[in-house]
Amino acid sequence: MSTFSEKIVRFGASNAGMVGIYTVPGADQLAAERPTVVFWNVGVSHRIGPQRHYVQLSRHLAALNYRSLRFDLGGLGDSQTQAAGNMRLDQEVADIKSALDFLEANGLGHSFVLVGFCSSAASAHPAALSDPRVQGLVMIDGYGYATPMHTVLHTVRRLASPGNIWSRISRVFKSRFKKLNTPNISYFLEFPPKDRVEAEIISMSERGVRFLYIYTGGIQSYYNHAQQFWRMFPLLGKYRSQITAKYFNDVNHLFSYQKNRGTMIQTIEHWLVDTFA
Amino acid sequence: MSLIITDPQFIETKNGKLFTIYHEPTGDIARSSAVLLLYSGDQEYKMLHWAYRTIANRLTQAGWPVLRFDYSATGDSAGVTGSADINAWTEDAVAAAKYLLERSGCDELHIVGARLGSFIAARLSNLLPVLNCILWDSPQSGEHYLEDLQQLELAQRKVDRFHKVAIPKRHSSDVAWVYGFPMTKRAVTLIRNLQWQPESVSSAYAHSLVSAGREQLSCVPGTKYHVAADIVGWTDHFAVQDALMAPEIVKAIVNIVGDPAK
Repeated sequence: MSTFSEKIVRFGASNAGMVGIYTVPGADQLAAERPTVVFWNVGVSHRIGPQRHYVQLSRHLAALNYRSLRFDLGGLGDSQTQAAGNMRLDQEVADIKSALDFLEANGLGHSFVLVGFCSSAASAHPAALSDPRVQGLVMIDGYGYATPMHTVLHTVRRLASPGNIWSRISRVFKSRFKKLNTPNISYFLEFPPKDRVEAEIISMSERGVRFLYIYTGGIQSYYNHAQQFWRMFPLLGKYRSQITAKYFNDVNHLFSYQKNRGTMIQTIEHWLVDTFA
Repeated sequence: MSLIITDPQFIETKNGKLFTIYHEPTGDIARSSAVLLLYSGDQEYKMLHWAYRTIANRLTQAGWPVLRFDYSATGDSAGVTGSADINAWTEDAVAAAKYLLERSGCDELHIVGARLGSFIAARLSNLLPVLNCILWDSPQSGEHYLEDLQQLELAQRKVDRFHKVAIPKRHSSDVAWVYGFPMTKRAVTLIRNLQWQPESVSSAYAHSLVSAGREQLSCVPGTKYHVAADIVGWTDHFAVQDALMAPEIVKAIVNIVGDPAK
């Protein structure tokens, strides 16, 4: 069994008010040559990630000789607010930069892979864009845009679903069962314009950044088939060797079940090994 | 407003490293008691984290030293998710309480335990000098707590059915997966056996703090009963995914710590 150690680190403004856990493999020689993987809050949850995924992932990555930092953005989790007056997204990007500065200044990393999951993908992308030290970007259920094929599939599946048929019956009879229709499910994200995102991915690709995009079946309102990534961003075909896009239609947004718990971890591990080892 | 000073530390215990955060008291009042906050289980941890940070900050501003910590195999503490149980968590709580007493120089404890944490608080009151227990939305029994978790699991499955996500029908024989977290059969059995008895809590003062809508569900025998106006969605799939904002409960806990005899 591999060994690793975890250290509490503090950095940033407000008297080093940001808190994180730095995980380092037992044998640090190989790790020192590899990018350090960085995670932070998903939504308002604290740094351990949904269902403690980031703790598990950090420890798995240590076994592969990757160092990692999971930390709380200012004002979230255990961290103090870093600055007042900034727009939230700008402040998040500044906090991520602050984490990378801290790691670099202390010899804990010179290049980085950022991991964004759902709402944290919204800060991972601009942080990677603005910081040349970022060599890799993992986006889990991040930006997605409906395409003609998405709309066709979405419509057909909705029309054919037993829930929808039941909904129509209940509507006809104006029955009290109407409330049993579809649950109110949304993981709300506001995406920047598609063309801008595509141009920014191209810009990062030309800088040499490698990408892993993971999409799950839990976000079918905007992503619902394997090839959608390439249909959303047709200009990225030229950079296919730098971009991996995976779609797991039978996995929910939080990777909740035993049978798919390892899906995200293994996908990221394999991508890191193939890309950076 | 005074600056909040926190000191996160790992402490070594027989169950491995525990992640703790000590909140330094502020102001001029020297207190002889400190406050230990006990989380619930994995499934409710996420929603409680923000609430506990808020409670800790409020208490430190009133002069009390406060400690939060992650049970083994939860949060940032050592251990693989699902590998610990309530017995291990009770041992963790004892270790954390001793660290808090030593660190703060206090000789008595207030224990705040939410949900499953209320059973651990009660156990702790029989093991250490506990002045005051505040049991927040205690389940009527371990069985009731498991039923609440099952409701969350069913709500998750309903969402997943809508999305056509493949839902496993059976789990492996040794581990049950409940709302995204593995629980060994032993861990489930230990929780199922939890019952409240009049002698369960042996602190000098004991309080049941109940959120709105749970008035009939959460009074532990032998405790003083308080109701706070916040509604807490312990069995609400969407509430449990979010940070809990419960200002009335925070206020009530600060008041009870301030005057446990009231």
